[in-house]
Amino acid sequence: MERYTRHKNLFAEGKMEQIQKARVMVVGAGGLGCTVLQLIARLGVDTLHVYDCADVDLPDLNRQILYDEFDIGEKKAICAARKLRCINPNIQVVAHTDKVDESTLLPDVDLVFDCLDNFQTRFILDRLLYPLHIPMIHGGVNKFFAQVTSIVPGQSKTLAELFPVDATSIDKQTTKDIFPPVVTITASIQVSEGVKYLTGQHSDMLINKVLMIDTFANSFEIIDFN
Amino acid sequence: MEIRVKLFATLRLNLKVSQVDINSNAPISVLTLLNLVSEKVGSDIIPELIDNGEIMVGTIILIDGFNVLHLNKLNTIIEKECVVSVFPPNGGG
Repeated sequence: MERYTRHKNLFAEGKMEQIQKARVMVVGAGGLGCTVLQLIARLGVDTLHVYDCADVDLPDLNRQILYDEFDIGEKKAICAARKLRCINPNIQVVAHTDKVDESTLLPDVDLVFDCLDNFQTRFILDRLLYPLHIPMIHGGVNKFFAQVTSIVPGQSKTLAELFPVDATSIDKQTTKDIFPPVVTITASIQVSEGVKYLTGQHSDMLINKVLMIDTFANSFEIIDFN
Repeated sequence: MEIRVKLFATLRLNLKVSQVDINSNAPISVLTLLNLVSEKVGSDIIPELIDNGEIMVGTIILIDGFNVLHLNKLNTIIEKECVVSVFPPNGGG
């Protein structure tokens, strides 16, 4: 039985091959990142770059589903890469333990997932990627709530244009309290968006639209941006 | 005209309301709209959204998808039926 039998027939002819050729970068291997990484690895891309400069800590284990107690103290990027290679040895996984900043030299990738935990670095990533025409699938969570949007250069506004906010103030307002299910829901939708991008279904993506998720009220609502 | 005001994310927790419909026979400003929402829900939502007469840093107010920061901020006039969305982006990961 072939590894991708259960999902490859969902895509039109040639589309699974596009996924298998994809080089993907995930920035942040925390709550969102763990689920995004695992789903992307299982889908079967070509190369997966994992960026995170932090270590695994005990409070991470409520939602960061790639890690367990034996991983505490290890660099998340390295630990995640090791786990992902076990999940799918057919893909290349590259761990990056340096912090993303204005001077970061990005690897040659087709798609980036923003799984960061702060808007300051998100806006840096936005500024780095947009001129390179590399799309970024954004996810952000707080308490029971989240949002997802897809930044596709040439088709969408930048993240900073969609959310013209003071990054520091948003980061201060964001609590450390996060309902674990909202993280996996949000990350799963990010991956769904990423797959749509890789398989050319751009018209079905959240481009200039933000999906607002409220697990408290079981509400999913799309806001159109003009 | 009917104006639907939708509040999202942590504003829902703090303000205990997710959506309010306001009817107005005349054009009104965003500030007036928010005051009408306060009256309707029976609690002052202004301190959650406005600081020193300005939209609180980090809060986004859209009128049918147009950010009021790019219009006339709190003085933006609403003249027709629309949906006003108010939210702070969620920052965690």
